[in-house]
Amino acid sequence: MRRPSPPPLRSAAGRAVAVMVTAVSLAGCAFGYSGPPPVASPAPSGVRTATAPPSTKPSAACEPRNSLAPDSAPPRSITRKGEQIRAGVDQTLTRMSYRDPATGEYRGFDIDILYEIAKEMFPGRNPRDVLVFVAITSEERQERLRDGTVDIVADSMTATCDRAEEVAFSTDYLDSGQTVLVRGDSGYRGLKDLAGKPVCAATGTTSLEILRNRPEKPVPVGVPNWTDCLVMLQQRQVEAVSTDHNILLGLQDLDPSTRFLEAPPPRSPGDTSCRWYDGPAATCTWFSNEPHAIAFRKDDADFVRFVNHVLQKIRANGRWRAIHDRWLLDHPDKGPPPAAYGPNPTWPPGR
Amino acid sequence: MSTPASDVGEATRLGPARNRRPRATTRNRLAAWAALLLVLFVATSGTGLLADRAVRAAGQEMATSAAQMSDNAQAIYRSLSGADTAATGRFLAMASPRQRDELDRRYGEALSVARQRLADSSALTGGDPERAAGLARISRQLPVYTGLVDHAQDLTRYARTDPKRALLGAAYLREATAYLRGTLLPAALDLWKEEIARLGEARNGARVAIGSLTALLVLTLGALWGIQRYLWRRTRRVFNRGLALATLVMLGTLGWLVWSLSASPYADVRLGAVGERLRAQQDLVGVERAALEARADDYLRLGGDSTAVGSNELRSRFRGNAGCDHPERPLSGALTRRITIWCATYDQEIHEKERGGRHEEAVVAALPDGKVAVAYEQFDADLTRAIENGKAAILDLAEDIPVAPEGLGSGTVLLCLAAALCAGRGIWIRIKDYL
Repeated sequence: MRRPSPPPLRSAAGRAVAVMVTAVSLAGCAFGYSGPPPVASPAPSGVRTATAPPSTKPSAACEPRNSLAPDSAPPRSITRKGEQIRAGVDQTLTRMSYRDPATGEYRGFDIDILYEIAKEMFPGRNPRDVLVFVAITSEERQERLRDGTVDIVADSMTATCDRAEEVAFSTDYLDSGQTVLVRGDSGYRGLKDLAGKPVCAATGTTSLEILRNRPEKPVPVGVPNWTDCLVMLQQRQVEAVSTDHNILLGLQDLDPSTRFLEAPPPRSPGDTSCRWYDGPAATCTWFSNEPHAIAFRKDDADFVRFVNHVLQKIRANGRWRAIHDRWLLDHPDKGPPPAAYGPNPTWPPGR
Repeated sequence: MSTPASDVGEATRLGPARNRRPRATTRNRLAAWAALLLVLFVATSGTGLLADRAVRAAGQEMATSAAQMSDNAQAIYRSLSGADTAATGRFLAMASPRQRDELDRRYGEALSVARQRLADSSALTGGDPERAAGLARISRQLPVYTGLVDHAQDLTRYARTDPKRALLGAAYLREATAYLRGTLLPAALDLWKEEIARLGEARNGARVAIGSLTALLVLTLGALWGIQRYLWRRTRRVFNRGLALATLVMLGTLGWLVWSLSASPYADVRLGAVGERLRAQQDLVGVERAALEARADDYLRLGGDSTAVGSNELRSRFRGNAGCDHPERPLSGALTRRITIWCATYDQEIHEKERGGRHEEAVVAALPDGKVAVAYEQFDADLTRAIENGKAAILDLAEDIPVAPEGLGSGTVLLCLAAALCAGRGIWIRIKDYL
């Protein structure tokens, strides 16, 4: 009789080897080293490439320069409560409104205009004692007016029909237009040279939106502050900075090696960008129309009228020119913007 | 050459033509058994070496080193946050030489601590490329940050003669802060998290390695028993001495292993406790980092620098970072009270005054010796004490972990070699019969 043979060893050995391999795999480990890690480049916080399409639809019946007729009577809303004007201003816009880092004092074109208002409202008093400057951001202008923490906002604000839905505007006190600042050593001449190149503007401003709609198709890059744009320009992270000419002049003060583009952009028929430009049209590089106005609460009609009175007065007596030449001598606008009084679909109030 | 008794009958019955096949089959089977044993001995030796390494990684020396590395990473993280707060404060205090010098001193001191701890950590990497890479990353990023701060301070130097340039300095300072918060601090945090993860991995690695080694030893003993049984049947109950000796050696190995690793469960529990303490410490340091960030935000805003967010959002960010609205945080009652005082002082002295246009008063409150600064420093002193106590407790726990047994790997290899020689000798005697 044939004895039963033992179970085949091959399969037993195979199983054992499998067990062994698994055990060794569990216990073993391997290390890899792929050289020194790269060092990340710095960039201002909040940098965004703006890609969203614009959402604003300008109303045909709207004229952003229109405001209420002037009135020399000081507003009771201000004179009644503590005899101080609380003004919301920017603290970083050199030339227009900035806080002097050495003294903490506010200075600039907007600040001097505010001092004129204070002098007129409280004659004989030091306007520095009358005005309380409150640093605000572009985004909180309307909110701070609404909640009463400021009475007036003067921070290079462009009067637009959209904004007029929420605030009341004075008459235009400065005309400017959007243009472009580049590094002095760059070869760019006109906006068309910046097609597909990163161009910086502050987030939440009309400048970013205008850039987005340009036919040259630059790549808009948004940052929280204008000085961040200059830092990015210096670090060659963007090729240009684009906003209102008066703001760019302030940035150029910070870095005199920069220069403005010299070739005008192509213009479509009816383009009014250079209407308030002082100089030959062939040298005008502006590609937007930016009427600057002071903002108020919508129901503060007395204050709007009074400020319009002050603006009209300084236009006429040469004070506006003196302030302009102190801060914006090289800004190519045509001079004191003419006041326009008249209604709009949403403001001025009490029309 | 002799023929085993069990094979004689079968060979006679099958005749001379088929006589070679059973002999060859038996020989092949013995060879296969031998190969299996060889593989198991090699695997057991290899796993012994790996277990040695894994047990050492989970032992006192490595746990202490991980605790020290983690403490260094934490100190780097805190000092970098502190440096940023001092740098931003210095910008705000440019009109006051005394406060500027004080903040300068704090900035220099914080950077010096960060650099010292980086150097200390380099000595603790133990040749581990992953640890070294994390440290190298921070060492390369730190000069980028200090370069930006230096450039900002250079521009600020012109504040009296050309104040506008100081505004550009503020933009560079803000970029430096963004770089620190977005790149350097996460790298320091990673360093720290990696140490905590490494401790967890060491703990798991030791468990897996000990389990695998035990399983392989049992498997080898099973294989030795199996081949002994097979030969017992083939050779009419002749006991194979070589295999018996190998079995005894492997039983000895198992016993020695159990004795050597008797302290492992205790080490495992301690290691788990160290990991938990490190995580709790991470929460505390996170509170401190957020508080320092809140201070730096104050300085940036008051320094005329940041217009990115409005006052309400700044307040909300402050309250989030300072922990004003988080009573559930794992902090003692005393610390929570300190936070409450700090938050109330901030609201009164900075938020309300800044909103009311009383900027100078807000600046005075924020700078050293100001009301908000004092409230923060009282909170920070208590928090630092809590962090130091946590650090001492972690080091105590780590030092209480038993020292890893010596020679676990080499002992296993030697014993496996001895057992393999014995088993090989025993099997070879039988294989020779079939040649």
